[in-house]
Amino acid sequence: MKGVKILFIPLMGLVVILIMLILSYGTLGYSPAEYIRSLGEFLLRQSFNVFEKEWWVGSPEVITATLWDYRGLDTVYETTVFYLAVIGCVSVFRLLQPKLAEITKEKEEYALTVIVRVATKIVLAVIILISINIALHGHITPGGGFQAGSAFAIAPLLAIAAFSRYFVEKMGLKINLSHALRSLGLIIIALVALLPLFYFGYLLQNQAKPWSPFPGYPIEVSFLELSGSLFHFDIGEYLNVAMGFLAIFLLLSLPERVFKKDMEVVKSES
Amino acid sequence: MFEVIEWFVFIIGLILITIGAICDLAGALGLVRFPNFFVRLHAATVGTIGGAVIPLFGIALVSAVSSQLGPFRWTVAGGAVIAAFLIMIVAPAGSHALAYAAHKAKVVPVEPKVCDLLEEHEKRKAKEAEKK
Repeated sequence: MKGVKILFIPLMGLVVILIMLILSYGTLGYSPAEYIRSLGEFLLRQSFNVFEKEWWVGSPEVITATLWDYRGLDTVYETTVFYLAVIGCVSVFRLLQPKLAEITKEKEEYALTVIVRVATKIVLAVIILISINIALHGHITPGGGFQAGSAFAIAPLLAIAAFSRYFVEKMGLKINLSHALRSLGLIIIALVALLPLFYFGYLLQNQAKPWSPFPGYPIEVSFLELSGSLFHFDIGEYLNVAMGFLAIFLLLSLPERVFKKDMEVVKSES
Repeated sequence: MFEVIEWFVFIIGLILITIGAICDLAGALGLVRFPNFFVRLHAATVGTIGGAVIPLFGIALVSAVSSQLGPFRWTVAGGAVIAAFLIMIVAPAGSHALAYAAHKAKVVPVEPKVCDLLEEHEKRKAKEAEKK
């Protein structure tokens, strides 16, 4: 046992040095091949190029610009994959009698102590505000729809752990609402992606191009910076991801006895 | 005069960051060497409050007097103070919840112990319930 411990310390040191070497010379330096570097240079040069607006996006945030404009179709497919994954979760955890889910109105004595509950309430407000901030600033600062939705997902998780499932539903975050808002997010994304087609532009077009009649989405409305379609895409993705996670957590937090009671009905019918 | 105050604030910030490093070392040592779960949890909290909150306040002080950052120094300082306050609220609540849940579920033995007020309280409650 002693020998293992003595071996362990230099091993840890070696791992730390290796990780530092990789971080400073491997990925942060010039590790990709030469012909790939030009792609990154192109994105960096063109995404907020005010002088040559042929390929520009109108957003200083190159990552969001790449995600929703240069390879927008890929992100749309990712969004649909997430939507379908949540549908799969819903169909696995479905209840034949949805009224059974109301059993979880538990008594107060099972809640955690006052310290935890007060701290959770403060943190819940901060988390929800910050997630909305990340979503609405996705085209200006680092962040975006998916990141904001993931940040929001912590809120119901914390509320379920510190209070109960019933508390989350009392906050107004019910499962039917989550389905409605999730679909609304997907509809927003689909409409914004399809709108240029009606102007004889091409799919997922953001800004005006010399060879396309679509005039492009507005870059700013009075003092609000919108960066064309990125702002709308971010809102749609935020609704989709946040409400998808909420639906998953609400279903997973159902106690097992609810499902057993549901199964009894199935057995008696068959 | 103003420069002297700036240097003073800068040195206080550096001292706070150094205290944070020492607290982190103490927390890491305690996490390895302490005998049971609850005392190790105490060491972990030393690592978060002493090792994260205090150096964040130090960073806020240092960045507030770093004039080379321009107006962005207030961004850094404000962010550091807000993060410090959030950790200060969250970390004790989290370790409290962990300790409370571990004690309630009786998954870890309270051994060696000097006194266990929560256990005494529960015993007293059980006795009162028996009398009724």
